[in-house]
Amino acid sequence: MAKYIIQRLIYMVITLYIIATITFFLMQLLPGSPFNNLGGKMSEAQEEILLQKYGLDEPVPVQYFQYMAAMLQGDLGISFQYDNRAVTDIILERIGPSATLGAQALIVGSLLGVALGMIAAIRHNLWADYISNIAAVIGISIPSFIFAGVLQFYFAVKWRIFPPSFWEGPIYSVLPTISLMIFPLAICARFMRTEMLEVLGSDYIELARAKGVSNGSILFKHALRNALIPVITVLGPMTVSLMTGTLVIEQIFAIPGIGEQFVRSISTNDYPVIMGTTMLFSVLFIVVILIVDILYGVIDPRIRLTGGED
Amino acid sequence: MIVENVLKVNDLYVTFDTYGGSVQAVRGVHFSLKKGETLAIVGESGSGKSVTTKALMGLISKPAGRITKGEILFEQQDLTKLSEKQLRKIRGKDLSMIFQDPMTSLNPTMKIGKQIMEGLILHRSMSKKEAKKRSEELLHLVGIPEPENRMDYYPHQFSGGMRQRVVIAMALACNPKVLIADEPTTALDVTIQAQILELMKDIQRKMETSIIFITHDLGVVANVADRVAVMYAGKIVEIGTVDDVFYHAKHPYTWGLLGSMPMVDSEEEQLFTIPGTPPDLTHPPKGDAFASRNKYALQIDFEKEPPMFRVSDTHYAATWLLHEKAPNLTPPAAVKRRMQGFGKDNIR
Amino acid sequence: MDKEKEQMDTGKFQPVHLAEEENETISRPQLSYWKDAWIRLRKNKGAILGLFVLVFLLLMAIIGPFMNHYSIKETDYDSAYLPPKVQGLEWAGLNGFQIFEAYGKTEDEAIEKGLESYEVEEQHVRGIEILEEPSEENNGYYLVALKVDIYAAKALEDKYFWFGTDSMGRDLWTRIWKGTQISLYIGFLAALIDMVIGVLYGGISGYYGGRTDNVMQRIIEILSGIPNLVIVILMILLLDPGLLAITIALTITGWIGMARIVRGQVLKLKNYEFVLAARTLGSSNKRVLMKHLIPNVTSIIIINTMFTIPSAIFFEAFLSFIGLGLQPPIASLGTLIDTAFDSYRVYPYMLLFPAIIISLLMIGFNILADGLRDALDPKMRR
Repeated sequence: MAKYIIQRLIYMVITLYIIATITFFLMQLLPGSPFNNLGGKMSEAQEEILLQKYGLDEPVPVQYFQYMAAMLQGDLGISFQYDNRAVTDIILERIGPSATLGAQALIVGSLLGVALGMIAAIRHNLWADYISNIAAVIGISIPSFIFAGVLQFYFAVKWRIFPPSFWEGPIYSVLPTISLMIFPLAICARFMRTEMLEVLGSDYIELARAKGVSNGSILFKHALRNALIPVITVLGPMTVSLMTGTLVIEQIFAIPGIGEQFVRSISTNDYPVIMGTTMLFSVLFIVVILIVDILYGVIDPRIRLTGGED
Repeated sequence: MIVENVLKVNDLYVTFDTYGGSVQAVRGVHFSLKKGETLAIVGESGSGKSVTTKALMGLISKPAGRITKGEILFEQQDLTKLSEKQLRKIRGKDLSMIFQDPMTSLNPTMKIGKQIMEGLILHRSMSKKEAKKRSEELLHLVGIPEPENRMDYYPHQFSGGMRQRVVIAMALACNPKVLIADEPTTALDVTIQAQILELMKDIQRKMETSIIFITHDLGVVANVADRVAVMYAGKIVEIGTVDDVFYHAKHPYTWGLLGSMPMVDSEEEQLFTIPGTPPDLTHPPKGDAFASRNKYALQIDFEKEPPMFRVSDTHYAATWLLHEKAPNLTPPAAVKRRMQGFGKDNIR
Repeated sequence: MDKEKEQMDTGKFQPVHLAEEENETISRPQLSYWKDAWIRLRKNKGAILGLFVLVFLLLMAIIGPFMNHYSIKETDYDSAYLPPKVQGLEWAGLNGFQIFEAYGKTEDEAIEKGLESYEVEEQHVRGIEILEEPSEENNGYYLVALKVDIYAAKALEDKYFWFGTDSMGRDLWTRIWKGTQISLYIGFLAALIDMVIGVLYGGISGYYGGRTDNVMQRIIEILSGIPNLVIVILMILLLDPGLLAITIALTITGWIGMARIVRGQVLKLKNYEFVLAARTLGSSNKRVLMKHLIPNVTSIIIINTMFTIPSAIFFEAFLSFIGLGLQPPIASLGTLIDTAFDSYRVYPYMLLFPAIIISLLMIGFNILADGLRDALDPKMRR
């Protein structure tokens, strides 16, 4: 187990190193001067000062080394847009709303999804199954920004039940959370339904029935755990959907989170912030994948993580 | 001495709805099971033997499958008329079951101790402590060493043979009156097979359990069974004691089965096959279902289903060959030689 | 019973000699795999509905832009912000009426303000509704809704914009169907990449095994450790937003899932007897791969491809929505939705139509993919 985790951690570091290198060289290649969007016309002398200030006049290998060294210390550089503001500070300042939103959507979405999938499997081929199937297809198909628009239009603009935008208290998180959790909910429900159906059709469930175990016990003592184990694997795709989701949802609801900052930085070519956020997303994704693998080993007694893959 | 019947099945019909239409998997099965006896049900895949046992256990999956006709009398009680709740009290307690594949029939994420204890707590109202003690005894009984330590093992920590012992321990937990074993040795190595069969025979002697033994392996039948029922296309076509069926088989299908069986010391250079495939039970053929594969088919086989003809008090077979007007046909010489050559040592 | 017996003629007890071949006749017609799958797909109402929706959208994407004489680029500020109007469907709300809302101390003041700020003459107002009476919540204001025949107000009564127009007066019907074309292009492109790169990579990796497989798997492992989103955004920053950038970004990342699945299948199939038999008979590696393995993983490839299409369509829409998608004047459904979001409270129709079409497209592909999976999955086969 320990050996396996160490092996995975090494992979993680390699992957992150590669991503960091790619982002660095991409930054070198990116078209146009980062100062295009400052608006004012700069003299060459002014530009020189700026270049020096951001360390862009050094030779590339030196820059690369400095960049890597800084990143190891958690320093992601200085924003082009916000004068003298460290990217790390910007991210830290804005991570709160995004994390809250993501965690709420993840927890509520996956719990509801598991429950829905279970109901669908128990009522297999009955109306509850059909309805939850249709709901799941709609949840998977319709992009979150359309859900967000519909929710905002009806619940905030028309009926005024919830505030339409900004981030000033828990009530402000209701509509964004719902918009963000639809996709995780839907994929969880589908996966759970499939797994549950497979488990319910297995020999050991039939044997449990043959032992005279009641339906409730079969469901919760025998089936649930076995069906839940594979569902952990959807955590990966769910994280990705939450990350992409925050980009659009925060924009729609004007939430001061990382996603909103990221989109804004893209439109103003604030490369250090884009790169910093990219690194953050990559780390998040890789850590989630690692957690999924380790959880799998902990929950499923069959897998003792002996270093095998897949 | 009259030995009472523990179980009696009368005219049982089971139907399944599938994409292609309704399959009549079991079409009028009759048999009875006496106390302490072992009845083997043999037949090829799809002959309805497994479905019959599932019907006995009340495990036909609704709503696709259902018992359309007939009764299953267990201690004068018709199981087909009981509610799911009443059935649950009998299942696992009086009737219990061993499945074919020990690799899939244990819950992979539950400790085996807990899986054995479950039935005891449920049916015998034991405390956890008592159940644990009894489970350890059971594990010992089925020949698992160090039962105290093994209670906390997960199924994947056991080999296939060991797992099947655990399944048997589970099935025996509540001293069932009838034990249904659905091909319990098919998935195991030959040496392990012999051990498991010995174990079952041993336990039967100790506990006086009646056993229904489903198999397609005639060697196993000769080894464990008192009586044999041969199933074909959802019906029992021949039933009798082991001697009746192995030495005096009357049904051409039984002849075919015997002829297709490999023997250790056989001088026959060739095994027989039964040509063709079993009929499609969504549309059972008119007349005898075996007729189209039967070398000895009579005209009437294609028109009318044969009734069960009595051969002796213990031996019945459903073939028109036993009718008084039928020509006196005998099994092929090779099969005959085999029938004479049967001795228990001779069978693998 | 006895009577019956007597009726039986002795002749019926004569043996029938069956020809050997007759024994081998199969009692049920055997269907080929694809025929069987097609029958099952046809029984799946959802999948067939999805197929119809997709065929309809595909046809409309092709012929839609030719159904009127507007082009996607033609701007005309006189006809900006016109709501949808369709000949003969005026009763269904497609009548070119625009609703403006305005506040005022009194009813009349609110109406006055509304007419003034939206530059509408009173004669074009077709209805007035009071949405809010004065209350503490709104500081004692009236909120009125004015239903205005904007086509009349702009003296464009003879024109019909079926889906309305955007802020530059461009016909949304034309732009939306052109946008659907782009979305479909992206979807099919992703499918193609999946089929070519993914299948080849996975097939080669699984088939050759050993060191080749090892190296190829390490590459995939690292690539898949990088979130898709990150690669795509980096590529697009590098290449300037646009169709080319999205195409290349999809090419880099889109095939990984497929490669993994195909490799897994090939590894499994490789040891099956029919493949061993083909090798023993001296088939070359390439031939075994193309003739035996690929056909046997076809169903899995089809299923996976079908799920790739909607996710690629979504990805394009998402990129457009955050400003990394296609650049004007070309429009995709994503960019149309993005622009519409700025003013959808006043002009909801601008959001409504592209949102409905992209949703239908996504639902159509997803349920068809589901149906295909159920139809092609051999496990479901009886």
